[in-house]
Amino acid sequence: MLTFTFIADTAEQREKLERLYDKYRGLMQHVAMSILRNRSDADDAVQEAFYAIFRNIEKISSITDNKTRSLIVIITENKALDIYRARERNATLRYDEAFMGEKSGEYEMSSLAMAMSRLPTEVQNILLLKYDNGYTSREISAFLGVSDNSVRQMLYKARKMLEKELKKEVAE
Amino acid sequence: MKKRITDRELSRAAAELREHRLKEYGSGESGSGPEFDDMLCEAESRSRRRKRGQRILRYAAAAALVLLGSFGGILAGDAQVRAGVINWLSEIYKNSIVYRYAGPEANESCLPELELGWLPEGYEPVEEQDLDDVRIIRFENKETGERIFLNYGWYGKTNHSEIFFDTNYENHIQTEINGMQIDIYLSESEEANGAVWIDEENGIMYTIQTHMSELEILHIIKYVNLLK
Repeated sequence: MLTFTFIADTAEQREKLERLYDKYRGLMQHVAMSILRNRSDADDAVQEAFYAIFRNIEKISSITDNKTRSLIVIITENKALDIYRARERNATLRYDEAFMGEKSGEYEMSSLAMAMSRLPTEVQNILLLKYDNGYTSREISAFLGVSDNSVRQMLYKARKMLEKELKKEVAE
Repeated sequence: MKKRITDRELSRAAAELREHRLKEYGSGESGSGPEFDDMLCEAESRSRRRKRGQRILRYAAAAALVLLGSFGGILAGDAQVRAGVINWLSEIYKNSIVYRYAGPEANESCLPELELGWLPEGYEPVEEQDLDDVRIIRFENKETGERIFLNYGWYGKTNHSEIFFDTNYENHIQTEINGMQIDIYLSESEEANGAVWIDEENGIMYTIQTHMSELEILHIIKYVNLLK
């Protein structure tokens, strides 16, 4: 196929891309729809996410790993949030306030994981990519389309925010 | 009392959070998205546009060097400005610099709006995000996919008294524009170039990161206007 030679350097990369998309396109659509509630915008978010994945396909080692599933969710979430913000540029409603509250189910987590879950979604996503997936800030910036320095700044701030949260908990 | 969270603790907590979030989303495999070949075609055409845009941008940068030739006037030194920045200390680490503020506390609340009096052709603001009272504005050239990230916020407030700046750069240049000291970090590789500057008069700190040339960055900085 003509497109293959341009996008994926090797047949394995194209195959990996196709298998990834095949496995996760339903999940990507589901994640985007849960944020955007609009099919056309969700398609755009999935398209953006796919583009980010395809540009970084060599950084993804496994198809079925939960870490890869998490990566796909994170990229799609971020792209959907970009579209959400562009759509609601003047809205002050935050994604977390708008949607996270609707999800149900309590799972037991450590106090640090709980503190992480209270951070803004973008910051959580960067922490997950760094400390769970093990990507460097440069790799994270390539996946999410933010600057390397923004990633580093967010990681630095996130650590400070978490330390503050935990100290507050200990004091209480 | 424990002072610092270790990377290992963060990794364990991140794994917990990952599992929690995946359960929240469920498998989601019942949904459907566009066909793979359609996605691939669109991605290919974006890549082509991006590559073409990068070529155009290189020509534009070369032209800008000529057009901005008279810009050197703003690089003149000013001892008073340097004295004003004495409230800031920079700590240099292997891969980063932390700019730490040690002056009086600020009382400001809402961040003023900001406008850029000059942007390279084709760029427009596409995202604005407030994170812990620091505003991050992303400008993008839709044709080329190239981006400019501009961050700004009050300093002297508890959470905002530090700027963390990556220093994977080969060249560090200090200069002055509009009475402010500008630290510019230039890369000789594919890294973006960046700059940090402090507006002492208004109590605002800024950072910018982009693949543009030094002169283009300086030109952007020169025409940053706070709308007070």
